[in-house]
Amino acid sequence: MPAMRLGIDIGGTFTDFILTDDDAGAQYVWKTLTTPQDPVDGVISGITDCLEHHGLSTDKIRLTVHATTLITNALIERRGAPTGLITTEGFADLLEIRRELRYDLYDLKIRLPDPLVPRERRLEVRERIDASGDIVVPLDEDQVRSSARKLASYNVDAVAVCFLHGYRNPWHERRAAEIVRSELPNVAISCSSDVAPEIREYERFCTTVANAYVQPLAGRYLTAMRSRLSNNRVAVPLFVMLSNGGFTDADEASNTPVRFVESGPAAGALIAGHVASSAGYDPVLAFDMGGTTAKLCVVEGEDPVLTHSIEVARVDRFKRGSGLPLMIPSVELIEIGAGGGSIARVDELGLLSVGPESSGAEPGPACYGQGGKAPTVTDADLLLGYLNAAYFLGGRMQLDPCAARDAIETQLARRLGLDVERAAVGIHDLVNENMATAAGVYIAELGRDPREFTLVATGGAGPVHAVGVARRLGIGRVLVPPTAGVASSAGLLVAPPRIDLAVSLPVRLDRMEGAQIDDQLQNLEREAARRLSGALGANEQPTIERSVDMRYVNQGHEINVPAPSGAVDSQFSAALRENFETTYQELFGRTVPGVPVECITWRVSARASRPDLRLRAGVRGNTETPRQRAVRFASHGERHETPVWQRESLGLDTDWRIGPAVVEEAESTTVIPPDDRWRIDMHGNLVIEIAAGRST
Amino acid sequence: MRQTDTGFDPVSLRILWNRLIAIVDEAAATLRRTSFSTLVRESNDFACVLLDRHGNSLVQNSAAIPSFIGTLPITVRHFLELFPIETLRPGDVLTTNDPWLATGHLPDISVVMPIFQDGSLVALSASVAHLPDVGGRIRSADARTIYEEGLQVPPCKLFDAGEPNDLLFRVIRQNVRVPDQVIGDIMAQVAANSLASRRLLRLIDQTALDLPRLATAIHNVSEQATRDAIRDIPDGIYRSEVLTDGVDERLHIRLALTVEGDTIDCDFSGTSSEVDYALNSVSNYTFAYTAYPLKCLTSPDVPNNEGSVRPIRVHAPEGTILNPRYPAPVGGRAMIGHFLAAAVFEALAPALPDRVQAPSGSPLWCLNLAGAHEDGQFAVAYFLNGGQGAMQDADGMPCLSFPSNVSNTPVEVMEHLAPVRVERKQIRRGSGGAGTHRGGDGQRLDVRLLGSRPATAAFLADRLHTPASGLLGGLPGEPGEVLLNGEPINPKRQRAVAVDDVLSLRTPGGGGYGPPSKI
Repeated sequence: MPAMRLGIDIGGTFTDFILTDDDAGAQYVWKTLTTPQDPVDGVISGITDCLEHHGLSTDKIRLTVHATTLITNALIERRGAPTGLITTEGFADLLEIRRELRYDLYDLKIRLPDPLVPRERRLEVRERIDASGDIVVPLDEDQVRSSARKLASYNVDAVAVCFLHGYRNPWHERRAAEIVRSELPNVAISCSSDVAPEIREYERFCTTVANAYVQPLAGRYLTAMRSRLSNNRVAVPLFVMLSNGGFTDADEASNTPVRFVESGPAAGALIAGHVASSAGYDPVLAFDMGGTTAKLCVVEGEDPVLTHSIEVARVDRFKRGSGLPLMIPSVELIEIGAGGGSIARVDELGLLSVGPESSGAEPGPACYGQGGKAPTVTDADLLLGYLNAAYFLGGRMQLDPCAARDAIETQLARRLGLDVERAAVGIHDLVNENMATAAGVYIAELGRDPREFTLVATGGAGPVHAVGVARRLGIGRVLVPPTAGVASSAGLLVAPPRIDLAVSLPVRLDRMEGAQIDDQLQNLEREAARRLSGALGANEQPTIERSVDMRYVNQGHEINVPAPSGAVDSQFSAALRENFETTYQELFGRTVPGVPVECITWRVSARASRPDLRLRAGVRGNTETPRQRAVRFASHGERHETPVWQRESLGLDTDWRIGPAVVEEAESTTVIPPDDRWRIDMHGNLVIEIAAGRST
Repeated sequence: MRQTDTGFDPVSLRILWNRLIAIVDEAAATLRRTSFSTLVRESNDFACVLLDRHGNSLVQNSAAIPSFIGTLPITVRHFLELFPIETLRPGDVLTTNDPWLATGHLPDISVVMPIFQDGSLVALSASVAHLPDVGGRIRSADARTIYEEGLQVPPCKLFDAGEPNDLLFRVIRQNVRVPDQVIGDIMAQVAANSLASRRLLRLIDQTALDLPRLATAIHNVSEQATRDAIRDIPDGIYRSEVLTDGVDERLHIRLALTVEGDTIDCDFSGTSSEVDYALNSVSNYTFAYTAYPLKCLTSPDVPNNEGSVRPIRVHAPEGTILNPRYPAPVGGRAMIGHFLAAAVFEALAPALPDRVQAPSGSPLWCLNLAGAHEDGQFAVAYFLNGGQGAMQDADGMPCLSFPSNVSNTPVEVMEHLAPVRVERKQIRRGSGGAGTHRGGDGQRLDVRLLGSRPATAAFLADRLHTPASGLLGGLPGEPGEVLLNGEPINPKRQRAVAVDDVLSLRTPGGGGYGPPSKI
């Protein structure tokens, strides 16, 4: 059976391709500029070029997996469809009232994002469902019909249907959707009971409206992608990576596009987990640092840690609470305003401060020589000798060390009363500190100890800063995979295809009615298996897992607890209670005796088997003698003469060497301080073990 | 900007400071995730603070509310007087809800944990949270003395060298309507404090940190930033007067704010005398809500700590509504304290017209309901807010918490917790005051009592008769309203509501800024 798989990752600047031939164990990567006008153009030309370059044909491709920033950008740039809302009478303003909280206590001028649907297109209809899911006011169908007509007069392309307690009883939403569909057959419709069936109306409505808002765009895009792929003889199932690292087919993705807002970062977390796990390391802190931001994500046994709510399109990009909340399953990652382009400045206290403002790609760091004057992290890294002015992007770009020094000297060092190198060390240290601090809080919120992790560094700036971040967190090992600068796209092909489904059915564990829950779980399991079938190999059976979001009665936050398979009976309840207490104890150090427990959301996941994929390391010739460069390390005073290696020349499965060292490859540079030891393992990963005892 | 000699280089100081903030943010996350009532997790009505060994605050959690971060250091210093350092042991946890020593009303419980390293006290971690119930006749303006307002817990040990004070726990359980939630929330505070304590000790250990020296540095640079900002305000005496509804008669807050060099002195002489209604704001609370708007005006970007408030003095004569004497009732102190921001802004408007904000539709409003349903007793606090005041360059936002930072309770959660149906939650269009920039709109929340038994309702609500005035020519917002079955009622009185009764709370709009343009 032909067995090539194609991964396509559309980012803001580049579209990355990866093709794997699972039979031959071969792997091909390609990179092309993203075509923002119509991203499918870049995809088609990229595939054509990639196949031609590698002398391949399309007929062996059996599966395509796709990630894109399209949805996130549409929400940030407000490029979605004109959308209407039909909601419970009395509640059209919930989207505008929000949660009434200020995300910055001392800034009197905070702004919150405008609702995606303006007031005149938020229409109310008579209906009411109560907290137990009972209908207390029947749906006024005529009013739904007239609302649909009114929305038609606003030329909406999408309608969200959001009723109070819709997560408990979807009947009114479904009936209203039917009526809207009959009135407006060409309009996309999203129901809150389908998109985000969870309690808390503001967040659920917001998610549903966001989904409706991007639905027409996503539908057009995926249809075009599929037909043009097919015209180019890639007529195979098209899967889309979801924010939780799962998959869905293009049809389902068109219905709930809001679920793939974080598809790119999910792929990045998956590849980090995969390379570490293949090399025998687990758990993992995936660390991806680019030009503007750093993203960190905990991955365990190749599975990224998940969350059920995220925030997008923030008004203030790095302030929690300033964006639109989305109740979707997603990899739980943190994004920090720390990248190569982050700008360093002297703040109002006379202290050094780095980021979150970034010089971006234009004008870029001072050393790019494109007109950027502000000192940045990349300028500091260059000044300290970490980066090679002549080998940035493999030599395709020349950096200007004088401009870097000048920016740091005039704008920082003099005003701080420090010499220029100390100021550069300060920038490098502080950006590491900012990332480590944020990562520390994030890891703690997951109830974990950072010292147990291996840090896996990707992205252009990741390997430069990885050891500094790891050391601050007490992490002992850093792994830099081959082609670390572009590794993320491979994440599309390493995950086992999976479908996740959930139903909200709040019930106290000691008052549970087995039959109803049995029915629901079996329905979910059948549906998940059906949707997964296109991604299964011949004769392959999916693995089905259940879990439940549980809490003590009256607590507001649930924890996800694995659930047993089999019938829902007293044995099932007992096992579930035990699993809950074990998980709670692990997270919070204690349980709360005597308090009843409730189950809120029931979840089912169906998975195919894990595909085999290894990132191929470039290896050429014999080990070359390294060049030497004077490099300044934070903890070691003066500059050290440091060997600078070309990564491809190191070979595989090497002996340990002792730092300091700098290892260069085309898309990134790894910096290893004195005393830390390092080697290239048999898979081509650069592994660094951090010397004990030193801490900043 | 001036350099302050701190003994730390500008990089190390920033790094260590950030680490302390991360510690309290982590403690806050723990408190939120393990709490039982809606007040912490849905409404954000709590704070975590880390203090030096003298009880001076170092850092607070990022989303903390202004009252608690102002009062908690004062509470901790009271504890250090009552429990001298030599009497404290590792594993001790201190607590109180005394309004005069702590936050100004009984439902807030302060929990303080001394942190020891090698047998000596190095710091304290503290948290305060609003409990879902504290017994008594539920929070209402018409309490005549504090004895009606619930259980008073004098300063005492909740844990003694790690051993729980069983009697205290039993007393609390016996006195409150929802004991599992109350004890659950207190234990969540203990968990948060211990986490902050462990994290701080690890930081000290890992970095050989000289904490007293770091504390001095943090305080000095913050103090200097505040002083620099104050120096930019022209010297002078700035005056304002703010009216509130009161109960029998309107109450006034009179402020004379003196800027002299790099200090600010706030004198509330001439303010109304204390009243026999629960509107009195103890001096801690008065201080917190006077210092907070000044911080917004002077150094909003500097993380808050003891140094930020050192250049600020607040004086309210004893026996006034801003400094009442025991046993005055205090449960509704927000109905006075939340107006202090408006007094400060109005006073400084001539000097800082580009920074001040017109009065908001304050205070924080709340519907307290207590009664019985099929699962036993319920006691809930549903929060809601009015419109934000306008500024020189922006309209006010609708329905935003100010000067507090307490979130609304989701409708679906409200209906889960008590036998009620919310029939309407909508913006009161046009309720914000007109102006060059408009004040933000208030909201309307209609709640019907279900179930089979009557319940008791009490309110935090004001500005029914004294709307949020406009600033510098802006017009006032619409006043608030509270109705029972369509008839206006006095929300300063607690009352029984019958099954099927509908309460309608309509919060005030914010004031406008600058004269409205003529059309």
